[in-house]
Amino acid sequence: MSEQIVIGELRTGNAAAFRKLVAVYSDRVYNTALGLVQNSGDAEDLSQEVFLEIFKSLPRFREESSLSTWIYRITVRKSLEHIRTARRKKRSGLVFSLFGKENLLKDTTEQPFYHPGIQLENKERAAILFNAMAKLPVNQRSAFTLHKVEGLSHPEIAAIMETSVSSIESLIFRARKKLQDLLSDYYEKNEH
Amino acid sequence: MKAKEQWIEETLGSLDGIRGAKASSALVSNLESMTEMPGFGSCTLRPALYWPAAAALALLLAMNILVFTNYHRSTGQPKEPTEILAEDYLSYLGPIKL
Repeated sequence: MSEQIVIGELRTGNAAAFRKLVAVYSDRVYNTALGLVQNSGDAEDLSQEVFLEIFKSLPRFREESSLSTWIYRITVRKSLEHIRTARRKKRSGLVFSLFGKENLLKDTTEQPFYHPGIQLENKERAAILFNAMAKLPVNQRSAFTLHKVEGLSHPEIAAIMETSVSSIESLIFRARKKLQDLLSDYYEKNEH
Repeated sequence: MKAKEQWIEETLGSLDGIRGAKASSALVSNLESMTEMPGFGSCTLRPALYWPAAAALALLLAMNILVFTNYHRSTGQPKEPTEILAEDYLSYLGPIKL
């Protein structure tokens, strides 16, 4: 079924078309959210928010990009909003702790994240890498995650992040450099 | 130094061969159940069509009022206050025969 037909069916509120959309995209949405927020519960909540947004925003979808690009874009945006909210809560928690109020918010970025799709022999190293990825600036984190976790090409990522291919290449290069520095610090503290 | 660099490169490569995580059956079920939400399946209109749709509705309403007032005039029945109001309001349209 062509994309135009699917979009047309979705716009008429065709329930079967929406279920087909869920069948095709639920894994991709969940995996992308999981790679970015590094928590399965949060990734599930975000997946539901993404599909709700798809359902509500279809009348405004202008088909300037493909359906999959548009869905990825919503997923990345929702995931980054979640990350920014979590960071703000963490900062306010630290402020409260300065005034003697216990910081009840655990720093989840320090909890090891074991992605279910990692090969067994790489699980521990991957957990260390994901922890370092959580410390990247959001654009670098998005580009690196979409490339390494979701396996998307640079042009696909550029379409999702609405920027040029050269910008994506630069983001991934800088992300890798930053990760090398973070891993170097980790090695000095823990592995040496 | 070499050991550290090797460790860093191996760690950076630990995502190689990663397989995508699958959405749980519970999540998929929740997503599919969105079709049962109230409002799902109702006609969704693009924002660009809001004004033409509103204009079409207004025209339909005006024509219905005209038909209604002309009907009562032709049957000779006394006019309702709403008919008098509609006649007065629409009098600027001139003598429109349906």
